[in-house]
Amino acid sequence: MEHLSEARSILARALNVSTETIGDRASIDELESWDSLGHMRLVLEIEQHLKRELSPMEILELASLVDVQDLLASSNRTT
Amino acid sequence: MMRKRPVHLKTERFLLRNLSANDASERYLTWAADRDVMGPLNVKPIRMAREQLAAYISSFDGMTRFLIGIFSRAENIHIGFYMVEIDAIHDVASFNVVIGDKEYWGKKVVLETRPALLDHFFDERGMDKIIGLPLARNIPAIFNYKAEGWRLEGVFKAHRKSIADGKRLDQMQFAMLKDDWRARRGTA
Repeated sequence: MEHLSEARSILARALNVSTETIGDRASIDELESWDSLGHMRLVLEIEQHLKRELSPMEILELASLVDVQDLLASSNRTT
Repeated sequence: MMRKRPVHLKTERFLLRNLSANDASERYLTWAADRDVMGPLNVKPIRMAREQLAAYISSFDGMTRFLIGIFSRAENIHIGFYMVEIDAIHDVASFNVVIGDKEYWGKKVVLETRPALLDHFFDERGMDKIIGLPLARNIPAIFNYKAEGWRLEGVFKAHRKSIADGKRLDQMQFAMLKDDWRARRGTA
């Protein structure tokens, strides 16, 4: 559960929705608001949070709340 | 033998058709001069004269190089374009897309229109493979390739030089094979 709440807040800000609307299984396929601009805002939010630029593969693999959580967790382990 | 056949496709909200010199409008000219529009493509914004834009549009032969406008059917306005180039020896095409009208950003224009173009170039123009080459920081483009199920074939490290500051930029290659597309469309 580490970083889940942080990930949910970041995703909600990026998609301009409330955190309550983002369930544990939220994904690109499920969230109507997760469009191309939302994805760009999400990447920028995460980069601001981690204070580093995401790699192309990290950007490509972001497709769910769990992916955001995992990215925050792995970045936390390596810093 | 390759024949000149116009592209004319309709989706629920949009019309796709070859652009002609008559489409060299003030709207189109503002996109070419807009850093927000051209920046993600690493193309220097330029202020062109209408005649220059018309000549540029006319340089597309409609056989191996296509400039295909995206028009809103509801508003009857031009909102963007695809540039398609065909390698006729290998039956491979490359797609580029620009949504110039910012009112249509985030409105899933590409996700609605590109499938129609994929159908057309696979089924009507005999392509076997279609590729897209976005810069790695063109995040909306990458989102769209991923959402449509294109396969990432590689990341070219430091493959381009930024027109803004000279920094080296990574570029990605996505591809869609005809059989994969037919399987996704349920027409295999």
